[in-house]
Amino acid sequence: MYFFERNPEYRNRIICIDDVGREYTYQQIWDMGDELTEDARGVTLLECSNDAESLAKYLALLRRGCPVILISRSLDDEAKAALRSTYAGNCKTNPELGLLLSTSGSTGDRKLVRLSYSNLQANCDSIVEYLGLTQDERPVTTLPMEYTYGLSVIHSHVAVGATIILTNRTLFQSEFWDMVSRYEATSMAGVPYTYEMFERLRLREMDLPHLKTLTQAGGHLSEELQKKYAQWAEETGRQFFVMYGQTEATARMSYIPPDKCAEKIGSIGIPIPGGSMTIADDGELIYFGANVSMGYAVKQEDLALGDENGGCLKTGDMARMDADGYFYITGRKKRFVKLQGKRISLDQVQEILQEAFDCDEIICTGNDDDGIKVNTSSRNVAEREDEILRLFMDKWQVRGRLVTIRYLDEIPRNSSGKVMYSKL
Amino acid sequence: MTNLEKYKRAFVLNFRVKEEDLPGLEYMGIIQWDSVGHMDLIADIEAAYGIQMDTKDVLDLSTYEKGIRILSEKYGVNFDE
Repeated sequence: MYFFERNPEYRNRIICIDDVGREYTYQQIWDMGDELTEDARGVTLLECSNDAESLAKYLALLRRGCPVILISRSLDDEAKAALRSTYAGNCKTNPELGLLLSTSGSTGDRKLVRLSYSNLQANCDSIVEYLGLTQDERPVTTLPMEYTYGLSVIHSHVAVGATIILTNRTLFQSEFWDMVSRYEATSMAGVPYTYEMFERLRLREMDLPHLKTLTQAGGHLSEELQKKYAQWAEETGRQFFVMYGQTEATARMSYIPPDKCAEKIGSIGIPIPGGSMTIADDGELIYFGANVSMGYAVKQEDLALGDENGGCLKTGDMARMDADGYFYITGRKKRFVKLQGKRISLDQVQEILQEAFDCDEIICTGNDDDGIKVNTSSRNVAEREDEILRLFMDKWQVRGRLVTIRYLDEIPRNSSGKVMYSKL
Repeated sequence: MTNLEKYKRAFVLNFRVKEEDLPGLEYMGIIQWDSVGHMDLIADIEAAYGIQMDTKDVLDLSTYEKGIRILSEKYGVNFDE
């Protein structure tokens, strides 16, 4: 049985508690979802937030066989319209196609990952197994539902009949922590910057007796923080999971078993149950598993396509493996950075900046730790810092301190005119 | 720079807003003042006054005005100088 189907055993259990403290049983959410999606046909754009209605609709659309494009309610209207006009409505779709998710941080990007029902189920099964999830879990949402990692938390807990504390509140609202205490949250998920916030709020000193598990994914967590949390978990009888994944693999691909966390600092761990990993001759990390997506879509006709990946994903990350079979990311094959849990293509940022400022002499470089560097040989562009930073905020929600603007006399190019990125 | 100027500067630099838009500004009220922005704002405020804020105060600093009150009442920052 798929995790989103009506499982009679769960009928009377509580599936979620929302921001106003209302509890919903699985049965109530199934019924609500069926009612709210009665008119849904074909590909459906679902604007969601972390609330009961979104959860109900989402699960119902999966049950109805309507491929879902999950987007944030707060996505700007232009981006919503673009997705709607590109994909929504009646068209020929592959019967296996269940979910379409965006991979990038760019709000205007129409490229989506095509995920099948069996992709979702396979990843869900692996996660339930390695996290050892049971119906007694009560995760509190710390990530948006339309974000692959946040969504995987929902999938895996619905699968076991657990109770999700569904909130749109942020870590910097005292109501969030009231909910954590009052509803006895057992786990929280975080991307690297969530852990910076945990630190800022002194999570490790908080009195949260029910909190048993923390998970981390969505980019490289600094070794310092990884050590701190591994140690804290060990000392307080908790579990801390460092994990690695991509939307192209539904969500997760590898994890460090918590008892190895302190020993394998900096690693992305071992493949999840049911998956395997290998390193190609050129150093690229390759993942195999039933959670590897069917492929991408860039236009409506692509929704009819079948599985183009055959369970094999070229991750775009370069890696090495140690003697115990633990993998370590050593670099990127393609030009992108992961900031605030989102993948951002440097080429795309560059293109948008070049167009916005009508200047070709803007070249973006960067890395996950220091952010994006905007190199330009135009003094005019370099002086328009405010506009550049605003564009980053609007387009990618990248904050100012992750962007450095650098004026250069000349962009370094080789004799054939190609940019020499390594010199920047 | 006066203490008030330092305080305003933390907002202006982090959120790219104009000084005249500061009164009434609140957490989650503008796209820039999200949880990431909040973290940066607090870091800059702490650095500006050489203080370390309690978790409760970090959570309570949810408007431009509340911050002034918290800083003057609990951390002895004098905004009248």
